[in-house]
Amino acid sequence: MTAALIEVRGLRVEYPGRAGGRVQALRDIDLDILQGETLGLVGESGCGKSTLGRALLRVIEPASGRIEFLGSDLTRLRGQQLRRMRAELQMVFQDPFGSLNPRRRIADIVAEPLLRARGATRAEAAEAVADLLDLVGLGAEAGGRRPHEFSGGQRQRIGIARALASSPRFVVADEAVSALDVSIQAQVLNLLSDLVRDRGLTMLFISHDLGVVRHIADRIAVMYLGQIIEIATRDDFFSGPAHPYSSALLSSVPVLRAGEPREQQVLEGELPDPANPPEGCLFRTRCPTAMDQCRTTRPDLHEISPGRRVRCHLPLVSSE
Amino acid sequence: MTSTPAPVLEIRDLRVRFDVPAGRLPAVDGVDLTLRKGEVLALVGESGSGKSALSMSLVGLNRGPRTHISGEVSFGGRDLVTASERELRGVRGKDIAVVFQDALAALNPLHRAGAQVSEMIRAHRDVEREQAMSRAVELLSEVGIAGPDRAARAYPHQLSGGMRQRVMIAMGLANDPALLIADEPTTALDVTIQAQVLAVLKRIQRDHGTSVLLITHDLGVVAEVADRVAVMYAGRIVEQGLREEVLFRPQHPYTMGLLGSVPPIDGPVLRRLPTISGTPLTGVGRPPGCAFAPRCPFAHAACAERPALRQRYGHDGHLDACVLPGPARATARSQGGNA
Repeated sequence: MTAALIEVRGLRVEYPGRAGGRVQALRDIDLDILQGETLGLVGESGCGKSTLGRALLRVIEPASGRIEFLGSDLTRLRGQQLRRMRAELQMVFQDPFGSLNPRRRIADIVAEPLLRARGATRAEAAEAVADLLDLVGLGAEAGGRRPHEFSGGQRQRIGIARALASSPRFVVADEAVSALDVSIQAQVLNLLSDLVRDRGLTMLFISHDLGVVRHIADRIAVMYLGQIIEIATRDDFFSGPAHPYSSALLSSVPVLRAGEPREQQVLEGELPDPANPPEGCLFRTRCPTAMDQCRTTRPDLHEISPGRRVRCHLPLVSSE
Repeated sequence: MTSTPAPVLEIRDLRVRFDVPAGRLPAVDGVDLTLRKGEVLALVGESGSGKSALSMSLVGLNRGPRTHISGEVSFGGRDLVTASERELRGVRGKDIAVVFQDALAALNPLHRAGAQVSEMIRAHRDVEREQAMSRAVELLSEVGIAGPDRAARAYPHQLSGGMRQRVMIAMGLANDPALLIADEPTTALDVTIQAQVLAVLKRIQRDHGTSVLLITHDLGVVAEVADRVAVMYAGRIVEQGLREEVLFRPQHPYTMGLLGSVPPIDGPVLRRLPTISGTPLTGVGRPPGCAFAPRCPFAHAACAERPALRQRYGHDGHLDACVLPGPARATARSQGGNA
């Protein structure tokens, strides 16, 4: 059994809602991210997947809970300690246009985490940056240019070089290939999976695209309305999801398949208002198999087979 | 033998060029395309391939001093390329409806959803306000909105993305158009909502016999709803045919590469995804021959001349613009378009 690099316990994030209420963006998240794995985090808009990624990097302050990483609780780090820890935690963003400062040279953009969090000298940084730009396939000469001179796919390579500059142990990639055309997306996905493997990185890969997640992730976690509702290995998940929502999500993905277009299992209704969630199971208002118990009792995220957990009273895959 | 339905829209040698600082950009570079009655034709391509420039030019939405449009678009006995702006206003929203990706930007934020649908009816038909409103509520119900009365009274910001897109489709259907142009209609939506909206589009096509020109970059969406597919690259159609033919027996190396680059949700997981090397042509320059040749692993001397779009090794009107011989195509297909 691989050890956990990150242990999240009872993590809760709240936002102020309308009329003085609190909206729970993350509800008591318990999650282990294992050393060296790529964990795919999936779910639809507003499910909390980006909030979770940001909370793990301490970009968002949690209301309560712990994030154990390298022997300390990230939620308690302050000042110098937190700055030093940031070298180990980096992020690749979705928007290759908005996330790079248009006025700065590529070399300066990529060097920044190295100078700030690792306290490298200018000369050390310059050398590392040249290597990184080579590594992501842009070539060291790209360092003298500015973001607008690059295409979307190239900018995403710059974002990856920057995220790797401080040699982090943990990287969050939030919809990192979603803005790219498929032919370019495939190039960037291959690059990312090579780098993760060669450098032994641990990655949280957040995406709404299940095909992309299946390609890159070792395990899959599914979120709905601020909760994790299923977590399983890639093969278990894609061969038979255990939560009715996971199943509906998979069935909704349009697939390239020969023969007549199939009738999809279309999930009815829309996401409930997070400020006013249903009693009992949060998914029951859209669940095709909801029963009385689902209205009264909120299910726990419980283990149904080794390494596989699901938050449902009536999982589609029975316990072993 | 079933007879081929009559054409609704015939595009001949359509060219759309934009004046940009670097010169004249050939966004649509000589396209021939026919849309038949009651079919869903998917126009597929990546960013900058010209698919939106093409669809906008059909209804004159990108006319302007820096746009040069030539060729012929016959629809209902007239040529939309030479039609006056006044004539086009009579066609848009009545005979041809357009649904865009971003419904929030396309809807008027100050008017209630029901009023926007009923105004669309009244813009083209002489009916009473009350009558138009009750028809609007019917249309909202038809596009799968539960509680259409309440939705009719809502302002766009009070509706979810999926609901707004349904309101757009209801507006599109208001005058029972012969042709619905849907430009990335589900791209901004989550998959479960996308599935609902695609089901609505399919039902409309089936129940009303509306022809749909679906512009999309998503090959999965194409597989779910299209009858025929046209693949665009650098302003040209490189392959065209029945859904089953183009998606499962592709003839053009670009289509093969595109299909290979999509990571699937079933089947074996590949260690590396097949890729198309290089980046799409988006600037003003075009090679004299095949536009895909600079990225094509199978390019050879004959590609220096521009290949015509015609039936070569395909069946049932399956056309392609590639000079590659048959056996080489089979090899290319088995390798996902990679040499």
